[in-house]
Amino acid sequence: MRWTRQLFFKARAILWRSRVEREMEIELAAHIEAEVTDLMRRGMDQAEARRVAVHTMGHMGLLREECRDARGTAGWERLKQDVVFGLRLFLKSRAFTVAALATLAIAIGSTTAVFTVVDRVLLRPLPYSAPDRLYYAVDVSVRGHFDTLRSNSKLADYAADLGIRTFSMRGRDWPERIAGSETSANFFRVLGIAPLFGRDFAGNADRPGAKRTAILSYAFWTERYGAEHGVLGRQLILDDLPYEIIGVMPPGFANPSPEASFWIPMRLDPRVAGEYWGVNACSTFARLRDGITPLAAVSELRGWTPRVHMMFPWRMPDAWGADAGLKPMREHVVEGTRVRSLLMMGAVALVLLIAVVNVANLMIAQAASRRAEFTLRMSLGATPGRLARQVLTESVLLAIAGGMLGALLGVGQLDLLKHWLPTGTPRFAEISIDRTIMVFAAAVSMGSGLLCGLLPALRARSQQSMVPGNDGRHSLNRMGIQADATLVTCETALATVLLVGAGLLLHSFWSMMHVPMGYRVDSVVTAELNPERTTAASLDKTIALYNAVRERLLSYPGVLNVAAMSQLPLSSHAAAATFAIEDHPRPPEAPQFVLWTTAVTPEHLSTLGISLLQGRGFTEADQKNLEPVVQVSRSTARKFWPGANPVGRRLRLVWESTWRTVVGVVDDVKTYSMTGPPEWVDGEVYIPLAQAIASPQNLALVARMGNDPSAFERALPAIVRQVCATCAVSRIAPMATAISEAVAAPRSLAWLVGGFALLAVMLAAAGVYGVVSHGVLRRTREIGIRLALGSSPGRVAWLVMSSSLRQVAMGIAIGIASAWVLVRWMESLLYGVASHDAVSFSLPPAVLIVVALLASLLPMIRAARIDPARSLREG
Amino acid sequence: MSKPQALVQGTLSLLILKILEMEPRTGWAISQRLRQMSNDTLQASHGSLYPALHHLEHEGWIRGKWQASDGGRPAKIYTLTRAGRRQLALERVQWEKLSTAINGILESA
Repeated sequence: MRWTRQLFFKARAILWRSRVEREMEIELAAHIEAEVTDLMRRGMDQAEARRVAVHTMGHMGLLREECRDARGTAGWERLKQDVVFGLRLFLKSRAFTVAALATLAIAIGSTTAVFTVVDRVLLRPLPYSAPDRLYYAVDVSVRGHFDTLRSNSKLADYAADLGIRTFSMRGRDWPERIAGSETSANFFRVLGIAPLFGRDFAGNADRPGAKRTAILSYAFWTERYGAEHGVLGRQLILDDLPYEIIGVMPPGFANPSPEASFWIPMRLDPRVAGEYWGVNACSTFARLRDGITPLAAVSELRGWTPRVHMMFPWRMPDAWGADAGLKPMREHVVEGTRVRSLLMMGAVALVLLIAVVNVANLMIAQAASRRAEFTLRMSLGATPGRLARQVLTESVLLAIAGGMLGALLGVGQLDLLKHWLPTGTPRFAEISIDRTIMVFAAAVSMGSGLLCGLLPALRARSQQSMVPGNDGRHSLNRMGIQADATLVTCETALATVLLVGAGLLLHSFWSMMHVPMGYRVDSVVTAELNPERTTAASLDKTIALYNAVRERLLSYPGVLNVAAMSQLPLSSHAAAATFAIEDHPRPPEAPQFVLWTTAVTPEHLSTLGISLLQGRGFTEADQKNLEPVVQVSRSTARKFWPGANPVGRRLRLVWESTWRTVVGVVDDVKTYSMTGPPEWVDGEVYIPLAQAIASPQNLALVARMGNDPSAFERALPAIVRQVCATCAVSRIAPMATAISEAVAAPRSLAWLVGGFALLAVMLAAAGVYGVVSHGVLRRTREIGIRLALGSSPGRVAWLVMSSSLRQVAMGIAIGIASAWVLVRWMESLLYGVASHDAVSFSLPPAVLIVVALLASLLPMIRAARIDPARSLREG
Repeated sequence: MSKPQALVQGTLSLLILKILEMEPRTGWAISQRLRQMSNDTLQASHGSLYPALHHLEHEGWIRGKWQASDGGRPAKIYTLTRAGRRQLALERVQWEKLSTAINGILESA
């Protein structure tokens, strides 16, 4: 039990330090007293005896120090000393402390905030039981396919949802729009999560004839039902159909997205073939059973593909289902966010590094003014190692204080960051600061503390060569100058990389915003008309409703034109259909053409200002029973009929026999997203609403205004209700808002990285200023001599500046070279910009050189103004 | 004032343990005894005794106890512990080996 006793001694020595010290003093004094008594007994007089006794004891200070060493707590004592000394120093040089703390706090705070997001989005396991057994089924998007797998798989349990959809919920006065999700009955069980209270869906809840049930989200339950447990058994009326509320999910459950206010079973009815086999809307996932490898599950899944292929009521292309497979659920969830998140983390890490370099810089400058102190301490017996430890202690202290401030700041920054993040960020609701984050912040603080103390500590060690009595201002410490130079080069290189990245993102965002939309954006208001099911039971009824609404809207002052579409522009809403094209026959084994399909009313082109390039627009004459017609977009026409006239060509839906004739070609417009249609789409077609493939449940309204649209936007729901009391109107917004929402993700990333780049440039400027003015201070005497020998102030200024400019140039060169290599990781995020974009690579050097010049201006002027006589006398 | 000259590194603790083997003593008494026993050959500065004492105490080979001395003042009296006795035996063997070896070298050379 030796170590326990030693621990006891150590603890005692630390905790009862003053008592242990007192005991030591008493013991030593007692010794002297005994010696004095002894010497006096031998005949010495008292004064002489005392002198001899004290003398034979040796150097008391050293003795005490050795006794403390023997206690094994010397390290602790020294640390305490260093800490106290460091704190005193910080209080004394406030400007230094404030600058260093602020730099570290901002950098550590930002790093913590960004890490919080990245950790949640990328690193944490999904909040389900055994999440590593959950796999996303790629290309299993038809209900029939999923249902077959679920019934037959022996290796995995399959479940599915239909994504998010808005429903009309009957409220007190009129319906409102609520988002919910249709899921398979085993959805929650396969995810491995149970309702907070109430019960899960019955096993057959998704079969025809089952009782309609609904499970509420925690947020919806607290908001609408006041978190009342009596909610079970009550009815929720969605799209005219009553659902019995049977359960409430725990807070934070946000699948398929946080928008879901409720979950209802999807319908899996093979008799409704169009829905069961024809709609690609299912997202399917699987939980592997115990001991099953993903490989086995994938081969089982693929094994079913040919059989499912045969089950389709119509012939599918032979290549159908070739890409079906499984991939880890987490990978699927973060797919689009991965690169973005890593980029953010990289940017903030660069800022942190620059901050660390800056603080190291500050500490070196600080150390220069402490040379006298260090020299004194060394002549009093401090070892170089001791001084280095002192400096490291100080830097860690700074970093801990900075880290604590940073953590506080990080909480605020996180809110800011969450505000900036696009709403579609996966697992957004889960983002919060917890113990892991705190540990991370502490580790980052310690790490940066050690890192920024490293160089100054090494410098303090090298003080050895100094001669006591020389205050050091004269010596041109070669290593010191080189270290400073390296710091500036590092900082500039880091800032360059960040600037290039930010430049690329901003340029990409800019070009995304400046590629013509192809349609009118100003003075256009969009909205979604959401009739109840009975009101829009057939296409005729929907059109009648629309015509009535249109008439009312047109009579509102300022409304110039109104049109309807099957989906709003930029809604990223899947609306593709498979077509056969008459003069482009495809062998059955090849996939058929997938065309982006929008049903529109005849006023579509004029209201949105889309140009008609060839042929005619739709008219009121294009009715259901007349010749079916379509329009194609310019690039579609060019793709299928290059150089030929597309008007008069024919295409048809693969499951229909009637051909639809092309009557017009319209300009390319951004309907799906800002970056154009998804790449798997072969082209775009427009169909008259009267000849639509299916009656749209919701209708997108587009109104062109001649005056300020805000009053119209407010009045819109009431106007619609005059025509249809049970109709809801949702998503009322100017077209500009829709565009702004569509670019939210690239915009937030561009601004965030841009912000970090700005921070980096500011820090780099501060760093350059610090190094240059420190250099001027150190070379005051040299400059004085030069001026005295006839150097012009201009030459002196150049002398000061040229060295810092050289370092900056070197940093830029390194930065550009690194960025050149690094940008290929962010290629997927760029739109309309080459990854080695000239502007993004040439602006940062220019910016940094200008900033460096500005930063060295003040010290330069100071150098030129040095009075030679004074500097020589005082130096 | 001299360092414990002629004291090979570590021998001071051996001597302290040896002195305490007979009876518990104060630090001063130990230093007296050290001078006496070595006929003043080992002229250690008195002070250097204390770090050694504190070290031995920290190792658990001796234990210091505060007691009232003759004059009524508190004095710290050191006692050899069981571990200390073992340590003494160990160091004595080592010392004998070492001195035999050195003697061997001196005589043969």
